[in-house]
Amino acid sequence: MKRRIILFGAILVLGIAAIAAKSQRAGGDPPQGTYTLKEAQSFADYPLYYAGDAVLGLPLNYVLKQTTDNKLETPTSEYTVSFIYGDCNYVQEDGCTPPLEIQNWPACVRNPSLYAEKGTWGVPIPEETTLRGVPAAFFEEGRRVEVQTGTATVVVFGPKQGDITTVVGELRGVNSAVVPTQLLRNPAPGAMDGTLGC
Amino acid sequence: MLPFVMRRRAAMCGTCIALLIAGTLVSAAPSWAHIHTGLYTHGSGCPSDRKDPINFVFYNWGTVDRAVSNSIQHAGWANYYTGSSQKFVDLGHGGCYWNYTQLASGGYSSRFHIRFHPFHWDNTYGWTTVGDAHHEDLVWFPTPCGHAVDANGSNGSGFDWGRRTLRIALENAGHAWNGHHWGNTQNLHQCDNDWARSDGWVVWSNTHQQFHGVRGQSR
Repeated sequence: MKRRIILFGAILVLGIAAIAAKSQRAGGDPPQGTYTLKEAQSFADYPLYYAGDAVLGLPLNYVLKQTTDNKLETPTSEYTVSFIYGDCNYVQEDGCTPPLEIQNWPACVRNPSLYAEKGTWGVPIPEETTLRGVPAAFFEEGRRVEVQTGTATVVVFGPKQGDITTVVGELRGVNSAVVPTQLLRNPAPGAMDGTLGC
Repeated sequence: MLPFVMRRRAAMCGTCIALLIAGTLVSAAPSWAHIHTGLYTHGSGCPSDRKDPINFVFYNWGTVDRAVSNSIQHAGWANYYTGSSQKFVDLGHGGCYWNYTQLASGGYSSRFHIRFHPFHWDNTYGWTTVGDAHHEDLVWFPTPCGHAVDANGSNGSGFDWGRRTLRIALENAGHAWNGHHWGNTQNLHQCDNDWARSDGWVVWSNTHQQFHGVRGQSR
């Protein structure tokens, strides 16, 4: 009985250590998540962007590939690819948001036409602007920006507008040769008004 | 009788006063035309410290007690006081407010769960209550950590699943609905070290005046 208690305690301690190790990635360790940077470089559905191995003093900690719905309640085969910088302390029963996320969407799924009802039904009002030479819009008092380029919509979540603007300037291609500060490719036909097919 | 010049100035002054009063009334009139909600729930660090995306709105007769009674009656989510409390941002009044109440389909188990926050009357949408419907698993391994929202899978995330389940239950009971894109898709790191995010869509469910006999309870 005593041996079983000791064994259970050891398993518990090892599990806690494993969780702690996962959540505190040391510098130089490859990012974790459901996808890898190498896999993202071979992604061919649409252009992906990220801000390199680190930005704003935050290391690239996670790369995620997730499914998305083409429209409400209808799953499709489209994917988003996210690059998450920094981390956060999740606690029991509650999740948390890391300080910076660059979330790539296919423009056929997410594009400015989704905000046509702006100001009604809770749909946020975009603050339209131009970044890297292409249409962009800020939301959530500057804590989110959506940038339209080619067949992609690049969504950046961050603590404030100034930081997000800096990050947009640092965007570079994951599966393309785009470099920071370079003007981005204009939105593809149909990418702004929602008529671009997936 | 006042001299002409003074009578004219008095008239102009009266007009100015009338315009001033009218302007004050207009600027002081509450902007009831919008539902002034944030896009996420928050922890104690509100308005930072995001926890869940808001993905459900009860409107028309969407008082919080009707939102609760309809969720119990049609979806069977009948467990109260069943999780951590979270805060909602009310942009109309300013500030953060703890959820009014919450419901779940189970207790210490994998389950559906929602927290509710009511808003003031809106000239367009009537009474509204917002919520963060989701499905979550009870995590035992490798380390017990309570509930974690299901990660994104072939049918979306636990957030999308919860919203869909509640929407279908209400729709089957005759509540019309429509969907709108809010774009609140930021990823949330869960206690099982996995990730979950909404697809950014919000269901608005038309709530009728009828009560189903169960009234909401405060936090």
